Amino acid sequence: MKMPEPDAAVIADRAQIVAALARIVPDGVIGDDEGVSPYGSDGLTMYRQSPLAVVLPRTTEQVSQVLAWCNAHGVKVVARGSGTSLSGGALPLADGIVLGMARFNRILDLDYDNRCAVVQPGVTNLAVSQAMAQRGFYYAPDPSSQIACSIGGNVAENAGGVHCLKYGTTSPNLLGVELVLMDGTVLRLGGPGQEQAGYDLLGLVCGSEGLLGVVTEATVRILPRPATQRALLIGFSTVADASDCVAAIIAAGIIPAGLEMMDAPAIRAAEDFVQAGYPTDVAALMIAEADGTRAQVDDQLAQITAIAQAHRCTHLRASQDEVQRLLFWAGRKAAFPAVGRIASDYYCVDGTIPRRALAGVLARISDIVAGHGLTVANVFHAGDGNLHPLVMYDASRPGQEAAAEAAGAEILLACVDAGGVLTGEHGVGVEKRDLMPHQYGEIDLAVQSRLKGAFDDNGLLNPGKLFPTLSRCAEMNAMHVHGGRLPFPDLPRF
Amino acid sequence: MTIHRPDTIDALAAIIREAAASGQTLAVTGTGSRPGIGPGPADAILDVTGLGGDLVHDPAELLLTVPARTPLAEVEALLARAGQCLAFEPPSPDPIWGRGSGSIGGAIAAGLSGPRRPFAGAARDHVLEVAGVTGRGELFRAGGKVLKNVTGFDLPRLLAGSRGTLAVLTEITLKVLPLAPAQATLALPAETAAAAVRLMADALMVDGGITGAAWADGQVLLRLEASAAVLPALIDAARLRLPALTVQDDAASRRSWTALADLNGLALADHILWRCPLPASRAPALAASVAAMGGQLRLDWGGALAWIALPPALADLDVHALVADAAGRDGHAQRLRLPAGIPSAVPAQPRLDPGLAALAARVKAQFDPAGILSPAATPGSGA
Repeated sequence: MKMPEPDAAVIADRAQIVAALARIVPDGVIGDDEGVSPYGSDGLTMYRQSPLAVVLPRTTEQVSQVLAWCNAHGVKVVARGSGTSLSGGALPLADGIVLGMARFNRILDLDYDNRCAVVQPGVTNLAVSQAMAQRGFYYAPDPSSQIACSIGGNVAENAGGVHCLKYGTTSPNLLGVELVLMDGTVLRLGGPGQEQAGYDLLGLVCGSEGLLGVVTEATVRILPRPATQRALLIGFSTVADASDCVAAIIAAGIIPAGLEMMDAPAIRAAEDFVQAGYPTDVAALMIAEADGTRAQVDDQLAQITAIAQAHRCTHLRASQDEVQRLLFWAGRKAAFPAVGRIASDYYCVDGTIPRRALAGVLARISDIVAGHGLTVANVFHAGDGNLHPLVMYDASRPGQEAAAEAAGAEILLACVDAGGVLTGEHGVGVEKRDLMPHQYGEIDLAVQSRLKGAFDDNGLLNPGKLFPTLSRCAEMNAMHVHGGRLPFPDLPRF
Repeated sequence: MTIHRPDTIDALAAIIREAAASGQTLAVTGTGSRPGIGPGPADAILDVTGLGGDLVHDPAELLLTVPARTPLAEVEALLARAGQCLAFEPPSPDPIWGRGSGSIGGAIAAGLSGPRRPFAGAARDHVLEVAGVTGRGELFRAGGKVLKNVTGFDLPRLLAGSRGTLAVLTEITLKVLPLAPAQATLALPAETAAAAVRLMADALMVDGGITGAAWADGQVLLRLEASAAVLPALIDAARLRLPALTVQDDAASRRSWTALADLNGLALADHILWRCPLPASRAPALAASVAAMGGQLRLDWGGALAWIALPPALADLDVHALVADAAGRDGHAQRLRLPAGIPSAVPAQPRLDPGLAALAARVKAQFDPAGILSPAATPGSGA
């Protein structure tokens, strides 16, 4: 993985840069090697690079001044929320600063009449829902790192979660942002209304991986919590039956709140780890969740049950209470650390495929991984086709890490070849940057990348991410876990 | 005036490249069913209805790929036969302009969303992939034919609602969703916009299956959609929470929402029609000022969308200013229809803050550096 060549002149000016930024944010500049070291990587710990300095602003005015100063002096900037990116989106640059948004940690307004919340970008995803729980409202997108990941990072990555088939990823739940451009211009895109004037720049900014601007405030849509949630645990003796069952549920006009699948290795690892009561004699296990009023939930579960039986399910249980529903989910949510217990190392791949291609792509994944002398467990957001193969390897054995990385790249290319895409929710970042030409043509990429010039004409905001560099390199990585330890061991991942 | 009507994408690209080289501006037009939205005057007309392509509906994957020229009515009928729909309920332009219901490409380029918008998302949330030609004459594709995709910048959202000013879309892939089999509408009296907005906000505080919330003719209308088995329970639950409601059964409910979509009683042929998104809580202030001036107003989206009809005598009423007074910069106004022969000094398009207008112009320049695609419809152009 190659980042742009650092600018030696900028690195040589470190002391002056730190001094100038400290005049803007007097109590918020870290400019020594030891101090900046904790910011050296994000959730993709494979890559490390200490930044020149870390700036921790408190106000939009400070963000604007910092960016304007850096723009005028040719200093690159990488914005950072909680640093949980799985694609290296917040990886620092040797000749750039990290703009840490952690001090933007206030919820500014909970507006129930307009069903929106105004929050600062450093607020964690879960804290938004917790702040309105007493009023029976919540914020729907629920990336599994939600106890740690920030709203600003969610906006940058258009973060998803297990309920986004029904409720959407971040973008449809984002009504507005305050955005600071690299030249210091402060803009408001959207707001508490349902529609913005002019081009949909809000839609463009969401998921732009920190390349277009820095979000200093977000207005998000909030929803009344469903009265009831229940889950079904459904086992199948073949992946094909399970896959056909998913298609039949959708074809019957049902959009479940969650529709997840795991293959046999993932089921066994999860069951060994959390004893969720999963059947271990099935080839595929589905979790289907319904939410809404009691009548809606009962009706949907009855329909799904009938469809599952028609598709030869060998195991079917409905959660009888909230404890059991959460237990059903516990195994799924712990699938990553569970795999981490049975393999010394693994890494997580993130691609999306048309659902009907599942059986074929899973077979292809088995072949790819076996061809590299490795094994794999698969978890799958079956409702929206987002697949997470967990490739297991042993980093202490020579060549295995490289083999795992090569297998991961081949898997993503197989997803694209099956009609899918390189990333469903983790982002391109540095990780999948050089695979982009497999999905998009040269002009397609040019049309996208030119837009950066409209927002940041000097190319100083998070350069080296998302778009392939001129020197294409085959190296590619995903979330690496060494010795069974996750970068954030306490975070659920799915 | 020259009318270009290419029948292949390569011919389309050649026309655009030539226009860009010569600086000839093009009014990008489909069936011409939305004259109030685009494209405005230009040196030549670029009629895109000659561009065909394959229609692929894949119900199990919730995907529909269509050539842009496909009639909207045909798309909706095709989906309905499979028990699916465009969940954002694209409003038909026919009641507003009387020139037919237009094409799917026009619906996406206009970017307008119907009553389900607050509950199921906007047009832009259902566009998964687009293919077309930029103002530089390049063939391109953006997004992907899958439901969940964060690979690269989200151009499908940017291009939805861009009114043909950035690129000419030739093919669109949409997320399509199940059509609810049954519906009912709860009607509650509300004499004022303030009372209506309060009622709708209270109704929407609870998750109860509401997929439409409008105020027209002294009544709040709340639409419930569900399976036939579930609907009675939703109605019963609503009865317990909401005062003095009457229930419209499935057929009556459909008639009510068709009448709302048709702007019945509002879109009088000689009236001026404005469309104003704003926070619902600011709608009562706007309603009061419109009433004081002698205009008519109705609300959709739980109050977050105001439709205003003004008599010809109020052609110079600055609705932009009324919305700004009511909602500051959180709302905006667009005049969709100005009857023929009535002059107005008020621009039709929303005013943009200077910073936003400058950014919009830079975005436009990246797609269309010569500024040839429907220049009069470009946001911030002052038209």
